[in-house]
Amino acid sequence: MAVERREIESALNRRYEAGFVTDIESESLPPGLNEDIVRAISARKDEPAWMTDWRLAAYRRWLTMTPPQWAKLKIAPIDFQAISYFSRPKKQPKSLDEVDPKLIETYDKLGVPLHERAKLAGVAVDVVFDSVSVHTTVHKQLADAGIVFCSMSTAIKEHPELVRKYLGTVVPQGDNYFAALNSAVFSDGSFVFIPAGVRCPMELSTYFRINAGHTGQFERTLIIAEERASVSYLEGCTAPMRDENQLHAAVVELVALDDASIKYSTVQNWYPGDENGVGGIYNFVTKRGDCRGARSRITWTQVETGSAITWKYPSCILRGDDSAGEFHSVALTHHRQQADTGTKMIHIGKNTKSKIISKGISAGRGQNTYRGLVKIEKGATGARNYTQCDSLLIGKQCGAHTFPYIEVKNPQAIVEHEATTSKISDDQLFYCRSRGIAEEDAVSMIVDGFCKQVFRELPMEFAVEAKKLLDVSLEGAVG
Amino acid sequence: MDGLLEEFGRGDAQARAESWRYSRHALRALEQQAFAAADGNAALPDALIERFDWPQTRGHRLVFVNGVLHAALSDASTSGAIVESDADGARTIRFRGKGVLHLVFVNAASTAPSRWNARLDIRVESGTAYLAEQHVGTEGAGVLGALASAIAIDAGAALKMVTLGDLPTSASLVRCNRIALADGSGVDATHALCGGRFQRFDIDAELAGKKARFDSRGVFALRGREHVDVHLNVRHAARDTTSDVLWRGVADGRARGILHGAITVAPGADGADARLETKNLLLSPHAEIDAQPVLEIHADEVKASHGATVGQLDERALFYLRSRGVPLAAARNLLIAGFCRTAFTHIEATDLRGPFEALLDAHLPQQAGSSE
Repeated sequence: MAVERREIESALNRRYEAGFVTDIESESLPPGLNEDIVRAISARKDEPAWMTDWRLAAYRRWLTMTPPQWAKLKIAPIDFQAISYFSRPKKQPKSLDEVDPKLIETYDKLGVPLHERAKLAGVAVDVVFDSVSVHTTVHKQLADAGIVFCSMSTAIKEHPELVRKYLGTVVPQGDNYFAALNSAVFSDGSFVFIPAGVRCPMELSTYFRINAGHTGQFERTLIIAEERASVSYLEGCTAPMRDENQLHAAVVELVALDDASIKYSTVQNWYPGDENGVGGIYNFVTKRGDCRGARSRITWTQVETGSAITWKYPSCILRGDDSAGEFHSVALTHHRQQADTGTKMIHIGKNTKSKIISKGISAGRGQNTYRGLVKIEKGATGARNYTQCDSLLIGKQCGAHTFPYIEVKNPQAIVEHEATTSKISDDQLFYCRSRGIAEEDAVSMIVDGFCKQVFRELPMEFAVEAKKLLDVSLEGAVG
Repeated sequence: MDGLLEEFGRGDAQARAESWRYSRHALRALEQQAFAAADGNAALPDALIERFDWPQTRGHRLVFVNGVLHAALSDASTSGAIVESDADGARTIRFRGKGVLHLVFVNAASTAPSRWNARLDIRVESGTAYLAEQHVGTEGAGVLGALASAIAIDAGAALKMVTLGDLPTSASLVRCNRIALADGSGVDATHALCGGRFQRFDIDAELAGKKARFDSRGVFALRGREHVDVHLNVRHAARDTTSDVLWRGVADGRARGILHGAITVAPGADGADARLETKNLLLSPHAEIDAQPVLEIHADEVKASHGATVGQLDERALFYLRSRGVPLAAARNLLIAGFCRTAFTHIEATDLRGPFEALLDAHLPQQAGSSE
């Protein structure tokens, strides 16, 4: 056992692999937040006046709000005046050839297929470095299909009518504290528009990276699928290792019209802080999809292994009749990570369906919370929900919590919720070990099986990455 | 929020607001009413006395009228319980060895809205105590009662308890059971909550001793504008503790039923085995059910699970009964009754099951005449 323990120790101390800093000249706004900063961000991005006003309105709204307290999180107060709200690489690239080689190197290190490989992988990638989108690949092929896939700042310039029509309609400026902050200072993000009847020919993907210190990342993503359109969108994120906590407060809005479908997958691997809980990203994200049209469908899939604190609830508003929402989640917390995540399924239309599969894994001193709401409104006749939340505990000092809210106002609706909490049983481990499988591998296998239902929902490349991430994050958790 | 929420809620403002999130309006409606102190000497009609004068509990009974002990109706001489009154007004009840006690709380309405408060301190020092708690009342101007019971079970002792809430539609009742369980002790409780304008019932069980066991079963069957809010908090704080919670809820008319069931396993409480199940029937488009099963687990040698459902009667079961010639209304009632009775299987004293079934029958949503 002694040898094993040492191996475990060394595995435990494995470094966060994406934790390097890229030395790139960047220009940042001074830390602090006031109306001038909001105006300055807007000005730097050459935004039209309506956008500046929209930001200012959000900022004024934010000033009247207080940070939410209800989550079971241990969190040091955030000094919003110490954060720099805008940072971008100094050289603005015209084409990929002009992109700073160091930046390319960064994404190569991360394994992001930025270049030609993108075509091979059949993935279109948008890359957001600190605050600004640096490159979007395979523009042309998408444009031929009528699809708009670009950075948010480009969209504001080139498709203002679409942005104005949809921005803030799913997550309004004053929705919550962090959404209001994001609306005021958001720097960039992705914009996707799939016109009616178009099935997006490839997976769309965005990689987010926070690089500079003392900055926050506030991206805003807006995805619109018109009638009968469909799209699958992936997002991945990393950040360097730093002793400070950095704030990531994004807003993601999805709009699905009649018969449209949107699949949104996230593999979140922000820097989680070290084993003593120093540093790491505060990942406070508002993600919401609006199934506006009949028979529309939105699927959220997330694998959350990073961040010191994750606080997010990708939700679906099932407004259209026969619309469907799905939420598949694996959240892993190790060391002193905290995750408070879940979903909201608001059933408004008739015969709306939702499915929630949530798998929480807690190791070390990690705290993992599922918090969800299933709300069946009066008119949602025939609504159906199934929720399953399972928690796996690895270690004596971790915690797993489940807070589901079920509110039913329609007598024709059926809502089911099930939750279990358990540890990896000694029987399971013994069985594997008696078959010659090392303890670490056995745990990895069991965890993999535990998460299978969710991984199945991920696109291939992501599923592989997610599994790898999980293995790395979990190594050394058995003792 | 202030007033009643300050009074009944615990913790800071935010915790109170969260704990009363589904009953805020009911509470506000009560807050807007002026209450006089309820009359502890109100005369009781014979018909009411008949409802609690069970022959098998004569000599084992304490009757409280609007929170005040009614000496003439109370006789606990053979109950085996030692009943004393505290300096600060609480009533202490101690059991040593076997004891059987029937507690009756009468909400006697008068011409103006009135309210009462009472506190009980119950301790089972050894053996097994049987406790039946009954809430009845007379119709009239609203009565708001508040009953706080602290229940301590010493090592190795056990309490079997049943509570029957059968309130007139004008009465509101806020009550709590704060239960502390020592090593190897056990509580087996079955509750039926019916009637009333608003009922709030907090059950806090602290499994503080090794191998303590807590079983809670219950039913609320609501119709009209009845509103019942049950908050269960089970805390496993010692090793090898067990809890089993099974509740059923039915809401018809414009009723609202809430079941919050939280299981907490404290650090170090290894070997905990916790189960919680709540199933609910929503029978009307104007009724609402809110279920909130919560798990908070801070130890790893734990088995914990919860399940919650909200739905309707099984169409196939209904079809089966009708194909056997049972009329629709009767078939529905049969299924609803069967659904609720699952919660009564633990009532050990068989002679107590009678009042439970009668109460349920009287309060089952009347489906006759409802459309298919």
